[in-house]
Amino acid sequence: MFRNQYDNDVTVWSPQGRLHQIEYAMEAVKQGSAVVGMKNATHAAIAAVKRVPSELASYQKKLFAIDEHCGVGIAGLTADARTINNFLQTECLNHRYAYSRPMPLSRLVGTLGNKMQVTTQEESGRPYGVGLLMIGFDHKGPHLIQIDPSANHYECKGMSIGARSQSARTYLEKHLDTYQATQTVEDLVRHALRALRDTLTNDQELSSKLVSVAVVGKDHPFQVYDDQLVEDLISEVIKEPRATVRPAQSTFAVQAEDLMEEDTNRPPPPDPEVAVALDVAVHRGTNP
Amino acid sequence: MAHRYDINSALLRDLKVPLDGRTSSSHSATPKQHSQGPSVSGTAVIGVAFKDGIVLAADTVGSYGTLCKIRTVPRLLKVNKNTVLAMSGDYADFQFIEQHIGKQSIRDFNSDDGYEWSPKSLHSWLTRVLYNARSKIDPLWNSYVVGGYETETNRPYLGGLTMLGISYTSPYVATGFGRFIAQPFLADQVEKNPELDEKTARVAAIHALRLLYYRNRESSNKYQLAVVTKDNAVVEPVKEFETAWDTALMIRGYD
Amino acid sequence: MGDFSPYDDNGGTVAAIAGQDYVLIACDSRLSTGSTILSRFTPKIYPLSKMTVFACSGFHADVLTLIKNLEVRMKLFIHEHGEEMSTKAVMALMLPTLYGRRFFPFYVRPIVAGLDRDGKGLVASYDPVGTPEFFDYVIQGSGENLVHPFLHNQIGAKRTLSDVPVQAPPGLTLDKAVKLLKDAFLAAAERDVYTGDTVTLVAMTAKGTETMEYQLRRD
Repeated sequence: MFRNQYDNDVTVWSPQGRLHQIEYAMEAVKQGSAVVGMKNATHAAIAAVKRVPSELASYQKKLFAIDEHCGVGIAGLTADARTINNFLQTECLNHRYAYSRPMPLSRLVGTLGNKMQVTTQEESGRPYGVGLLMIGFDHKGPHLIQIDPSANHYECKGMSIGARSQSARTYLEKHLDTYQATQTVEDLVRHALRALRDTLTNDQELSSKLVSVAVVGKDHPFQVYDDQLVEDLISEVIKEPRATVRPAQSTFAVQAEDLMEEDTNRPPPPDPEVAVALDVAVHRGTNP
Repeated sequence: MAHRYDINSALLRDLKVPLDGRTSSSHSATPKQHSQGPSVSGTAVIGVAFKDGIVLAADTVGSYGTLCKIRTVPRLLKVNKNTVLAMSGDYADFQFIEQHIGKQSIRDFNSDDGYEWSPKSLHSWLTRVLYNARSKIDPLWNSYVVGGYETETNRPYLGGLTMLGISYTSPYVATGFGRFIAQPFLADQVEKNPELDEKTARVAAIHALRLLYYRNRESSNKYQLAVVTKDNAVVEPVKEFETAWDTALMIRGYD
Repeated sequence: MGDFSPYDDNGGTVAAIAGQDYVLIACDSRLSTGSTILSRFTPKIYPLSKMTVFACSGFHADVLTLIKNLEVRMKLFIHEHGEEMSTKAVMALMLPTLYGRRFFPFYVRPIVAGLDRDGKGLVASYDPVGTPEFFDYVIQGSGENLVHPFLHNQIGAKRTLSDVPVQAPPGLTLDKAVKLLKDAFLAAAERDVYTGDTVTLVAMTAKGTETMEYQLRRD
């Protein structure tokens, strides 16, 4: 039987020039439930699907405040995300303590990138198994930043990570001009909910239990809206007809990007043959 | 996890770097000696806020006790197009601070994200540095006036800071001896005229220096002005102001 | 030279009254060192949250640092618990924050004032190492000795031969409390050189917060 010789630890290259451990960590992100983020001229919003591990358990939190001016949505290992959140919160507190003003997103994500990069180069330990969508507002305006276990980070106009997130990205690419031009927070959140809705399976529908929304922007501190607070917007959005639901066999032209997307109807690829290349721009067309 | 944020050493990487780098006596046989007072020092500096900016002023003497050791030394530092710093007290300690401000400015420039010192952030950071130094009983022997234009609020910013870390804002500020002589005069000017313009503020600043010069042997009439308005900070070249000593003849009893 | 002291006293007076459905906090805005004034525009009241304010005289550098430390701890609380600290929790937090510097104390005289969850006024004051005391009314700082007897007389009806009824809450209305503290600061500014310039009064009720400012002597 085939055995991958190049994935025992993160310091070993494969002959193709790939680091398999990092690619596996990127896969962990796709196991997490979807998070969608987008921004307009003044605000940024994220929306996430919450999962419940059992009938007897509460929903897993997906959105976290980092400081008054920023927060994150996570997909992947929640426990890893907690470590990262603590780090981000401490960085923001330290910056405020010294300079009496909020830490710019570029600097915050830079320090996180430095921290995460170490885990992609050290024999002991493993990369973080979580992807983040960070939103925030600073001197440059609203931000949406995607952060991978590979320690790469991308500034985005709209982005989605997690299970079935390709559907949301399709929505975000198609409606880029529309949500960028939105004038109100409500309109922006509606788009986030629509994009998130596209990641749901046939038997699922948006509900206030299932969905968390967070917004940050000009004169609008980071705020998570759960339960009742998103109820009204959700009830509006679910009245709209659903986007074409993908059947098991996609009718769309299969693109390279689609292959990278986890599809619940398809068995996951065998571990040694992960089809993610580190430098492939998965999100082509959405980078600023 | 309970103590992931240690507040008593919340003296931050940014702040530890300057203070640790300053003394390297850990290998010395003699006990570490902290500074007990300033050596080459500058006297009072002043600052006045006007309608849409601020003026800082300082003379250019570096004194060594009562000796006028350096006649022309800059005591105003342009940090960027919105921020200027004026120092009084120990000149070496100021140069140490100046180095660290410069290093941070370079890091900011390299980050290429448009984020840089603002008068408020510089004031805050300097307060932490001076407070931490005093808390180690190893003070930086300086008082500062931080001035500039705060782009966040779109307003002029003027603040004072003492060597112990006492920081405050005010539309007129003076350090050291200037608190006795210049501040009452500046208060009068500012409070009489809440809509002070740049020209009046400049004249007031120079006159405040003149008042100090008449009464303080450590000062001189060679001075520099810095003017900050929105997106424009200028530290002007060294000039001399006019003085009149004819009334000195009328003073009796001190000759 | 050679006589460096890490401490200074920057003067100033702070006071607070806890009412049945309000809390009133007052301070002056003068910052002094020795016989000189550093700033006439530095009020000593600092908002900590929607329900809680902090007022403090003493060594201003320590005051600023103490507030920064409190802000950090209060934000960590929000991160952990998803809500702001209650006034009572802030009052409890003061003790370890101040006592943590027991052997190099913050030279401060703090007051924490705010509303509890039912809108009732709460006032606590502390010594520099964190001993808490809870009062209906309190005054601390350079004008304390001058004005404390006045408040005792007018609010607590102590040391009085007249038939002034005890005005302490619930009898004392917010309007009357504002007048009393205004007078208290006018009196303090009259005799205490470290109190003056402006008196700032912050009145908190369940409806919201109102800030009032009045001129004091500026000499």
